Amino acid sequence: MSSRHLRLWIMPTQLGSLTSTVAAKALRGFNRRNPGVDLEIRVVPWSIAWREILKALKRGEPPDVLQVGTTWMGTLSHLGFLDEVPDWVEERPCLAPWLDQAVQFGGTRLGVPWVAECSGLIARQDMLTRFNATPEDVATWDGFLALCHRIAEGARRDAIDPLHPLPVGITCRPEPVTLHNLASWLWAGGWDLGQLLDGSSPILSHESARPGFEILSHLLKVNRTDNDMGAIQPYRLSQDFYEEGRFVFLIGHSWKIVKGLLDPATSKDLRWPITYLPIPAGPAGSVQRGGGSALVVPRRSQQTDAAWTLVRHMISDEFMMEWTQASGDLPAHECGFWDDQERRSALAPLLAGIRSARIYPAHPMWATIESLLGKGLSDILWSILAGESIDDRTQDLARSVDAELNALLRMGWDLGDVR
Amino acid sequence: MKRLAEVDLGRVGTMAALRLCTPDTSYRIFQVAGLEIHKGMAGAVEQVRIYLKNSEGVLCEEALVDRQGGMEGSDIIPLYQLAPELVKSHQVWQHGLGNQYEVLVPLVSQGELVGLVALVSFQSFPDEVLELLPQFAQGLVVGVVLVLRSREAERSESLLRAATTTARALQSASGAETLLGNFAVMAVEEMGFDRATFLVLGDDGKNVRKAICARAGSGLVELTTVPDFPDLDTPAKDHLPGLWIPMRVGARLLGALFVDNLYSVEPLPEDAVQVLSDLSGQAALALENSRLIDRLREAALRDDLTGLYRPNYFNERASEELANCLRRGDSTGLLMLDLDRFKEINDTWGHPVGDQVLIRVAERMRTCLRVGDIACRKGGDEFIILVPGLNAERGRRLAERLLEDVWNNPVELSGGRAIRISLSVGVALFPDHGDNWMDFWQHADDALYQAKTAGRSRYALWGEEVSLVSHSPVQG
Repeated sequence: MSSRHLRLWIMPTQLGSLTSTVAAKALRGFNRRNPGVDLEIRVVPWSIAWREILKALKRGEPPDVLQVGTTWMGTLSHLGFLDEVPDWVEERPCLAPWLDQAVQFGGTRLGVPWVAECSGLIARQDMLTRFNATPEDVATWDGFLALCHRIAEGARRDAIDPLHPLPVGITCRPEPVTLHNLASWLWAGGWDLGQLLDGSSPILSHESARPGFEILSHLLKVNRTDNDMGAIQPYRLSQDFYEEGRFVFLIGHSWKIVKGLLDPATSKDLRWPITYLPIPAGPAGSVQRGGGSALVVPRRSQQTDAAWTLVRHMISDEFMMEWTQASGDLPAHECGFWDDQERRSALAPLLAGIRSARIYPAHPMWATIESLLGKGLSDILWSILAGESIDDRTQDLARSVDAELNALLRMGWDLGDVR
Repeated sequence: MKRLAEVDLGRVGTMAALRLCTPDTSYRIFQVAGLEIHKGMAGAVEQVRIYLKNSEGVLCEEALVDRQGGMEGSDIIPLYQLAPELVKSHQVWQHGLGNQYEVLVPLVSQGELVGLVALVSFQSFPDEVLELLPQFAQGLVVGVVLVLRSREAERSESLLRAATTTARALQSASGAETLLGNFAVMAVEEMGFDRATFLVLGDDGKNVRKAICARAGSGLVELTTVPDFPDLDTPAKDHLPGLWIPMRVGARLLGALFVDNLYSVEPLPEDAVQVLSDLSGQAALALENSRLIDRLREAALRDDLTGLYRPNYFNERASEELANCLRRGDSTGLLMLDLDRFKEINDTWGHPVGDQVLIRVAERMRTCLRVGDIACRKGGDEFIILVPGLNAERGRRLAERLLEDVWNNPVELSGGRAIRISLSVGVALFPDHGDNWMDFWQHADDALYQAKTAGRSRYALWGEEVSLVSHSPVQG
């Protein structure tokens, strides 16, 4: 390659401000093999990344390679911003079919799955041992709820006490993260969002959502979640779990477990041993929410070949071994990381979760839908916190959210046929 | 932490402010300022986070700087989540954060909260430090205000550029369609909206005549699914990520423009909406003028009585069509029509009834013809039709259809009477029956004459026998 400037935007991992440094280190191999390429890395925070990326694409000045959330692919494809992935970029298959579906539109592959994740229950192993609870005991809603009741009996509520923790950390903030954490519970109850986005169906007020609201209502009650706890910020909730031992369970993602397994130094830093468990099965089984991110090259990039060469490097064994070790992000492809049988067996529950996970529909208006659903779900949870009945007030709220969502969906007059 | 009480915190704030005095207004300068604060506070704090209040009144983190380095901020704090003492009285606020302590230092300019600095430490901040922190804030706020003003100026300048470009595009547009298309595209490309949709009302001011949409990443499309025209008197719903801008001339509503950020979920910038709103008045006027010109032009081209084209325009279009046919090797057809016994109708029923007959014939012709066919009233009761792509077989069928259709749709008169109308039609094909306009015309005229003289209600294709259409030419 001749001398050129290549811009890469990625989002921060749990490494926070070190993300850029670690990425630069992991990209040494690429720099060595492409001495003429001047690689600039920008770490764009998740919370502003979507707007920043669209702004850059709309201005026609995007970076050459972008990390994007899998749920953003539908919009980026619809707006025609992405270059098609050349055949030579990916050598090995993805871990699960949904990872391919997330980047494929009308038979055209527009992104390369990079890291995969799935939601689940992160549990304090010491507490599971103390309560004699096995993974099977919490495999169903009933079993999980019964254990939560036992934990709640001895929980301290006047202060954070890691020896007498609350059952489960749940936040009810009006943000998409509330939807991300709780969608699995609604799905496990039989709710199927993808079937309901036709602009006229009931969505949150659909009868299939009711079992999910019931279990969430039970969880909020057994936890005796109050307004302060409901309003807690997700990062603080995570901190309360990992640093303070405030809860036995956290609904979230698995990176800390991966990192603990791969990096014993980090593992020692954990104040309590933690383990990953699938979301307990409801009437429709156990459903994990799949997610992660993909690498894409904008069509407006001036150097698509060099950009795709960088993408190929970023999914290579050489890069991913170092990246996963440092960040806890799991590779989305079968690769050297997963070839290690010992590691594969240790991560088996997580891998099974990823393989069977469900994703959000790839709707071009997803960001707006997600924002409304997050807010609507939050309103419903707050009404439950306020002691309102699921039959009355919750249904009213759900219908009102549905009216907003359907009005929004009807505005998609330029969408044509949406996959 | 005790040492922090000995540090000149006012100077630390000023030094950090100096780092903000650069032409760059991005988050990067806040990383640099954060590092300066770290250095100035002599390692007493673990983390420095700098927030600025945005136009929606929300505090957005610009940078997070810790012992390991700095990164772009990602946190967002709505004001209602902060202690009222901080928001209203602008007091420094300390609170516990797990095993750490966080001090929130309000940045205030002219009595208004413009930002916030969060300092995180493993030790509690003693009162003597808390008392010094307003000095630190006073130093820092100078730089913060400068950045805010620079960003505002950048945005205004960019908006002004966009408004100028859009206004020019409106002025240079020729025709209503181009004008609306330009306006929608400008709203997306220059103003930065995700989509701009135009609903244009028809002359009745109620039904949507046309719907076009421009969206980020792709050009202009005409919508096949036409959205309902909004009730512009009802306030827009808050949850919808867009806004309708009416297009009026005086009290008359011509249409509406909908701009939205449906995909990016970006709040609609009020100033850009205002600019579009102002420009929409200009666009509405231009649209009205353009429509008026279109109408005048159309009126000049059409026969007053029947609404069919006048001969001048017909001849112009016909010579264009013939030139195209010669270039592409296509065929075209010419039909000449003459009403049978029209003089009798005029003499018997009077000229007003004769006019009704002509109107009815023109109306039936329009029903039988395709969009690209050109029909003209040549004069009196004579009509000509140019039919691109016509061959002999289709020519016969069309002539038969015209004769049948006109016959089957009589003009109703008072007292339950009706006048049935019969025609004679001559058909010629180009280039088979003449490869120049004169011959082509003459042969169609000859065929008409042949049909007419053979007994009326007949048609003839030039060079063939006359055909009779089986109904009798009676007046009822």
